[in-house]
Amino acid sequence: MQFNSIGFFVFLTTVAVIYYALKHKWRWLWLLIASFFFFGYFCYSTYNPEKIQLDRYIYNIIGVIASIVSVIIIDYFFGIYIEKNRKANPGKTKIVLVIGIIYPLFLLLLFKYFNFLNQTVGQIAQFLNLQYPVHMLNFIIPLGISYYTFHSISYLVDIYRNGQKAERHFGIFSLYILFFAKIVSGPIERPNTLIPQFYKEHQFNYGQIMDGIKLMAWGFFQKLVIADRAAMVVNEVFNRPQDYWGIYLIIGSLCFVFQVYCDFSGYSDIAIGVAQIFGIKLTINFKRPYLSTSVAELWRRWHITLISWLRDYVYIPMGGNRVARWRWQYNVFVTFILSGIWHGANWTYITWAGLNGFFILLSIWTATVREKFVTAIGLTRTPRLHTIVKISWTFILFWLSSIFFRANTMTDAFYIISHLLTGLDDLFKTLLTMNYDMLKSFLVVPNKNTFLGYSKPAFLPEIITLAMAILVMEVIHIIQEVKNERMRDMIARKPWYIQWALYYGLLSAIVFLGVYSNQQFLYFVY
Amino acid sequence: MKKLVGYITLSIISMILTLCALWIVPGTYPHDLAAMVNKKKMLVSKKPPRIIFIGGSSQLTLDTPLVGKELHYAAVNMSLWGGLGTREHLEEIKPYLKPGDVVVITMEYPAAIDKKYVEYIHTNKESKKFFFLMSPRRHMAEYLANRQYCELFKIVHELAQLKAKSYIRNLVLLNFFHLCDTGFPNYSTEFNTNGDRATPYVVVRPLGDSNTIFNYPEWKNHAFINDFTDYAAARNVKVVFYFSHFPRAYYKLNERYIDAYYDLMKKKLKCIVLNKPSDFVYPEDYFAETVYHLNQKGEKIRSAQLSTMLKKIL
Repeated sequence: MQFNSIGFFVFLTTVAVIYYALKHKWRWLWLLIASFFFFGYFCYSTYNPEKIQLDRYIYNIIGVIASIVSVIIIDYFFGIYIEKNRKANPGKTKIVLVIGIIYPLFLLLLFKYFNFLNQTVGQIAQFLNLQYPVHMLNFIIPLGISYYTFHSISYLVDIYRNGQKAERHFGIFSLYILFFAKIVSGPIERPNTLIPQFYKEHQFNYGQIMDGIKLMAWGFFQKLVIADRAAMVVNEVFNRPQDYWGIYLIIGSLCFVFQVYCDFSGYSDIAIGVAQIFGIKLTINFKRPYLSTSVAELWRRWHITLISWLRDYVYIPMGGNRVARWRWQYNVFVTFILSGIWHGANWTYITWAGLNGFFILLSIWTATVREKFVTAIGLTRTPRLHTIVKISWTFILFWLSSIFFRANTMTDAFYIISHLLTGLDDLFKTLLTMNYDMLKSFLVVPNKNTFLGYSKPAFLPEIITLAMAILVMEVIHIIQEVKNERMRDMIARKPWYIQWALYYGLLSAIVFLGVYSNQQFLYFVY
Repeated sequence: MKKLVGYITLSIISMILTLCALWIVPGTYPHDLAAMVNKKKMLVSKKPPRIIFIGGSSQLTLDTPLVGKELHYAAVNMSLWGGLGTREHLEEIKPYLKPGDVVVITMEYPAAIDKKYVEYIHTNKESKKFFFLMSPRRHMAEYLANRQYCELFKIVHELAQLKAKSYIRNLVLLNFFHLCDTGFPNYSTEFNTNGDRATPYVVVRPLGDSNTIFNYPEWKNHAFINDFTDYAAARNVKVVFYFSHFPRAYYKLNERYIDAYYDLMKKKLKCIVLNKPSDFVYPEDYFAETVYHLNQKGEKIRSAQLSTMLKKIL
């Protein structure tokens, strides 16, 4: 059951109505039942009789359910054990903690990375002329495994390290792991922020629910109007990069930059909005990352809950920045590589993350030189222009690295990067000479009936709609950035007719300009 | 709670009203198949007796003004795409037939004897949408009578979406003069006044063949032509069927299936069968980019041949 499906709306409405009709003491149970249903339905919807036999599928589903249930049971009892024995028996407690961390990581490795590692070993063996039988495992990857693994680790580590109280209520603890609003793709919530909210009695609050619905609407706008529309261009270009060059590769890769942001930010907004309907506040996951003035800042605004998780449970335990300079830089780089591996078992993700880590290190190494250069050319005297330059530069670096993130193979990524500028000289010449007939020739890709994934008549309306939607989103981001205030709060101060006009516009855009092909959210696979 | 339900209801009502408004106001649909609307208009506007061509894109480059002139008929080329479905296409033109008209039907081979493609044609939702657009009232009544409310909503919504996107395009490009056009926005540049393609297909090698799998023909997939012939005969309308052109090499490769198809049609069809498949078998250099589309040279010969054949029977 995807957030962008009719089924989810029916599910959400039913769950919300019954939730508020129930007494507080039963609400946790109702949310847990709903979360189990959501999880189960999602598993059921992945069944494709053409791809997998029923008996094999049933075994897979048993494996998927067993893995999440076992993680919940182990974490629950280990958490209580660690809390009780932390001071009295630190040695044993540490062993329990390590087992508690290794177990979900082992499952993650088995389900998500086994085939990748196996294949890599096979390739190395082949290179060394050795015999290595590569047997790929045909698993269904458990829904949200990357996310609940992180939830489970932070729970145990927080009990061990920070004195987080172990949860005694098994149902509430299960809900912490399984809560349907965040099980699939986060946000990755810490136990001390989420668990207490399940205990709190949430009254029906019109303002809060409306706020959640508005946030969901904004999420749907990003997903349906921008991300899924850009996906058509992105899929076409990245699945057949050799058919394209220069301007087309630039358009395709730029579309991906907005697709990946709008898809995941849209999902996060919907998840936060859904939770808000039940009175539960989830952590903000994105804070206008494309307006960052440095790559480091961009990573503080992008997938915030993952990055802060990596900071707290990987980077800081490695010593963070309170170590020798080389070691600090090593810590930064390793943390980024881990974030790449988390995204998927593919060298393209690792390269993407490594590049971003490298950009941050590069900015540290060149800080003095850049400062001198900026002063020398007088940019410091025009701070606004300086900010625009920094934002643009950061965006370009992220855009280039994101080519690796989306490319199907490393070969494709290198092909795209090496052909980004092909034919641009001709295009500029054509533009400068105002030769419109020549310009029209850029709208024809040889041997293609379609243009960048769209039929020829549909391309222009679709691309204009996409560009307009991105423009609207960025204008909203800039206003929020400048005023440092939520758009919803700004709109709430306007007269009622302006409020209605704006929300009518948003709703109309979703209904009449949304792409309803039921495309999966990109981050569901991570 | 009441306030929340009230606002949600108001939002739903406002969206339904917007949908109705978008449906009513004139506008274009940026989709190739929207040309069906323009073609229907053309059919209605031409005075009988007319010679009406029904087929796929293989018939789009036909020189219908030449054929019409030779036969002294007003020529109307309703052909657009093989995947539309001849059965559905014939159903659409039924209400507009007039005594003295001649309907010339052809089907590309995949649409006739590739089982999977035939199945695809009759389940293709994209075609349904644009047939709906040709006669909205009639189709709406059918959907309502069959209680297919969701299907009906989906089609109306998708068409409204297309129109909304077309408006955005025209507004952004300051294309105000075309805000009130209907049908396919590029119709006037891509088609002539008879409904033929205005420009020839580009020549590309090797020829594309869409991986057609030939099967032996099944009469149930063609029986509709006889039903249509009966309907037409009652209205003094002639029906002619002809076998489409094909490259020699492909014809040889699938000859037994094509021959079986010919035998079946010859035996069972109530209408006039104009030719044998081998009559329109041409060398590869008469074709443009696929085995279905002729280039200018091929089209000249096909149009002349067809015209001569039709002359003999009309």
